[in-house]
Amino acid sequence: MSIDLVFKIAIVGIVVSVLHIVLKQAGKEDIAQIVTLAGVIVVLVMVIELISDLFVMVKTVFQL
Amino acid sequence: MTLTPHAVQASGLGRVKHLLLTESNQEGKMSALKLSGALLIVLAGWFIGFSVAEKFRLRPVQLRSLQSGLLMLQTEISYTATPLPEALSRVAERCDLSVQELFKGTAQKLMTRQGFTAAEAWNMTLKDWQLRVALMPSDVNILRNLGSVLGTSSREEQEKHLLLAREQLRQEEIKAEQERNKNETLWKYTGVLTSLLIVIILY
Repeated sequence: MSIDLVFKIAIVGIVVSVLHIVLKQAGKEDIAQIVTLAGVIVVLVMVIELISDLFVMVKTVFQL
Repeated sequence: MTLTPHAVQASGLGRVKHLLLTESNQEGKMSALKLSGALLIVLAGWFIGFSVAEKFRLRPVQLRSLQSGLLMLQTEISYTATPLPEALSRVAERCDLSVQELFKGTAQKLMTRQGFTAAEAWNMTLKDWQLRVALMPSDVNILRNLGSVLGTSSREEQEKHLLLAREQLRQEEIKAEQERNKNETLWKYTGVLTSLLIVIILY
């Protein structure tokens, strides 16, 4: 696992949180929610491979 | 030509070195390309955000100068009873730069004496002019309604219509000011932040 991915996710988190604050200040709460949700989904797509690896590993450890 | 083992080794090493060098060179080129692409995306996002924010900032300013221009026109019509082309060009000389073109263009169209009515000249100029300013269709509609009565009715009637148009523009200005407060900073930030997000996701 490379450390780059962690940094990438951290930056996405920071940018999304700032966007959320800006949008909320402008009174567009609904769009702020959508942006946060989009950020979560993007991060999920980034880590989905690692999660699948984890499941495969669990399966092999318990010989399922 | 026969090569000694030593010479073969040297040339092989040289080739490997050469290969390694070109590879690192290509990698450097790729990362430079990536970086410049990222920079372009951020710049584009910054530019889009700022141009939209600029539109929100300019709209109340232009509405204000339109109001003062219409007030001048009203004075010209009601107190000095100047003929319309002349009145319009006089207003154009004195009013703000952003709305000058509207008055100037209409005056010029009327002065060419090609048989336009005042309303036609006003509407034609308005059509060209609205593409270059930050006004919304609702603001332009107020001006279009005003154009249909310019130069066709009595002095008092025109005065009333100008007053009405100014009042409507004032209402629009209040609304535009509220929108500016909400949206100007928003667009300035979201342009840059969204492009940054795109860059990070793609990088």
